[in-house]
Amino acid sequence: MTRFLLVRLGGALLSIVAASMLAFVLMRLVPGDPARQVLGQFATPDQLAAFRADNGLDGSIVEQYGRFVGNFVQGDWGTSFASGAPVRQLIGQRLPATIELVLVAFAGAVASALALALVSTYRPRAWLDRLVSGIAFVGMGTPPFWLGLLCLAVFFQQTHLLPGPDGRISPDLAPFPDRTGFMTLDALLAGRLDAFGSAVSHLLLPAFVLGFAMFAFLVRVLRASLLEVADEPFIAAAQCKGLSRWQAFTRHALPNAALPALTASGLVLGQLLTGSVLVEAVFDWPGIGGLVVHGIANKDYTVVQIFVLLSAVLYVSVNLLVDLLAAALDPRISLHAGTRRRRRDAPRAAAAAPPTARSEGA
Amino acid sequence: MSEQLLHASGVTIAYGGVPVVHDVTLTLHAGERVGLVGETGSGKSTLAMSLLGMLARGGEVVAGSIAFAGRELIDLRERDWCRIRGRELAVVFQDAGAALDPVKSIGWQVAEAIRVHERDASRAHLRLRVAAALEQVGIPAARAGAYPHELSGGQRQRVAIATALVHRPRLVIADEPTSALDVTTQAQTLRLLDDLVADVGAALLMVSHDLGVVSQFCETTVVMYAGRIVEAGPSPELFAQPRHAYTSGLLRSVAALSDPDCRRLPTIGEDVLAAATADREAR
Repeated sequence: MTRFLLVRLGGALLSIVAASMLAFVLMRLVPGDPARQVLGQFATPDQLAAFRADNGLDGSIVEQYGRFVGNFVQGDWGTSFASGAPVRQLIGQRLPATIELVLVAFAGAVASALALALVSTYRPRAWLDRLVSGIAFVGMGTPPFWLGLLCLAVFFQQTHLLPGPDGRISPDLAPFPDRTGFMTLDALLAGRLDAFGSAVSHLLLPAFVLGFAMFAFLVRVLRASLLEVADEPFIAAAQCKGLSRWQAFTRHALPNAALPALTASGLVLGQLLTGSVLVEAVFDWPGIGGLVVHGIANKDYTVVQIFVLLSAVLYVSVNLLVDLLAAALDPRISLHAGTRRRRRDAPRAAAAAPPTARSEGA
Repeated sequence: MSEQLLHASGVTIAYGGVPVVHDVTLTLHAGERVGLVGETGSGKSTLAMSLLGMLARGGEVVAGSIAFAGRELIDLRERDWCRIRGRELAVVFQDAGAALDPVKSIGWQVAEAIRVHERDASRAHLRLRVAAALEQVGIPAARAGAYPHELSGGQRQRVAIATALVHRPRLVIADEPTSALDVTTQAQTLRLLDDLVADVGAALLMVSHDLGVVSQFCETTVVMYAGRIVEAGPSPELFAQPRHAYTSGLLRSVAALSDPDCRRLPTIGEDVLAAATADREAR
């Protein structure tokens, strides 16, 4: 167990280091001088040099990287070139909005994928099966920004059922204390049902748009593994104990089919943070996405670097967590040896291949 | 003869409209052991599964009736099946390695079988029952937390037998219960099954292609061939004087260790097929 954890932790750390290097180097390969960008074309060479010294842009690229990592670990994430504010403060202000959006999208996608996959597979029903496959197919092929614009056109512009792209809550509402950073929770804590309703209605469209592709991916993975498990003798054996088909499915097929889906959802949850950038741009959501888009446009290295690094940390830790969860769910995955034992009668455990840590490009 | 427990008459089963079991009539009395023998593809497993309402996708009983303890089983609703399966009608599958859920402990799986029909069973009561059920098949109660992959094939099949018998069913259907086991374990497992079935007073329908097993454990033998029952009767007589050409063919194909010349075994040839066809037309 300890060895397994150490090996996995070491791998995770290496991936994060690799991601930080990529982020650091990539942003510096982009042509354009941030000092010139910030100070304008009439700045003197002395001013430019002073700016570089202040912002850790002088010295060799190795020195710069060393300083960057050292400061990051100590909690000094640098200063935004564009606004002059500390990056940590900028991100801290906007992170809760993104997390709220991502969590709602994730929960919605997982719940609906589970429900639809179960209902469409536990009994052969051709029309439902085809419908679910169709939705999944459309979901996989629909670009989120386009879906976002379409949703805005239908639900806001044409029918006025849901609010348009004006942030997380209606601006006309009286303010309430900001305790957790999550608008819906804060509204509930303040006992403000009107604010809660407004926050939820603002969340609906962006969460749907962000979660739809993920839902489509998950429903495909789950359906495939449920169909594979459905004909296993242990499902029939469970029914022969006196369980109904539905009970046999939820108690036996689902836990067996859950492993590939668990791994898949780890992969997607890690990508949702980066995926939210475009969706946030479409809905003018005051999350990290806007910050990053702005940062890229203005060569605000410090902001983009930190975002890439944070995405990598999140991605790697989510997948580490998924690996541990999978080991807890399936007794055949041995933590002691740090390997997965394969058995002839257990093809699904092996199907959940260990997720590889990939760095997210900016 | 004792009370009639199961009576299937004129049962015809089709897969996707193609009949595979034709007009079969089968009777089991309370406490009786019946061996259902036949070659692969003769329809014996299909017939057994139809008695459980568990035909594979696409399979359907298209004609006939199956009466079990005075109830008609054909077209039974799922809710009613759930009351019968596991409690009055239990099954031991061919390969316990596949019939046990790989991600649940064996104790949990035995407990589930009890809980399905005894919803208000307390945890302490369940633990006792599970321990007793496992001990009864020679598995220490301390192993209840083990997972199927941690057991041997014979142990897994014994868990399956324990699971099938927890509610003292009236009929146990054993679908080739030992063909996935090695020979030494086979005899042991069969004897255990036999003892326990006798203990609870259940009837046993043993589906098998092993004539030796059937002649040893079952008082009645039913021979199936090409989806039809070709011969049925008390085992000693049937094995001593097979009346149907297919049965005698089947008996001749048994390899005997006592055969000094190690001759090639005869196959069941065209003559038998012709006889079976003639037999069908004569009816």
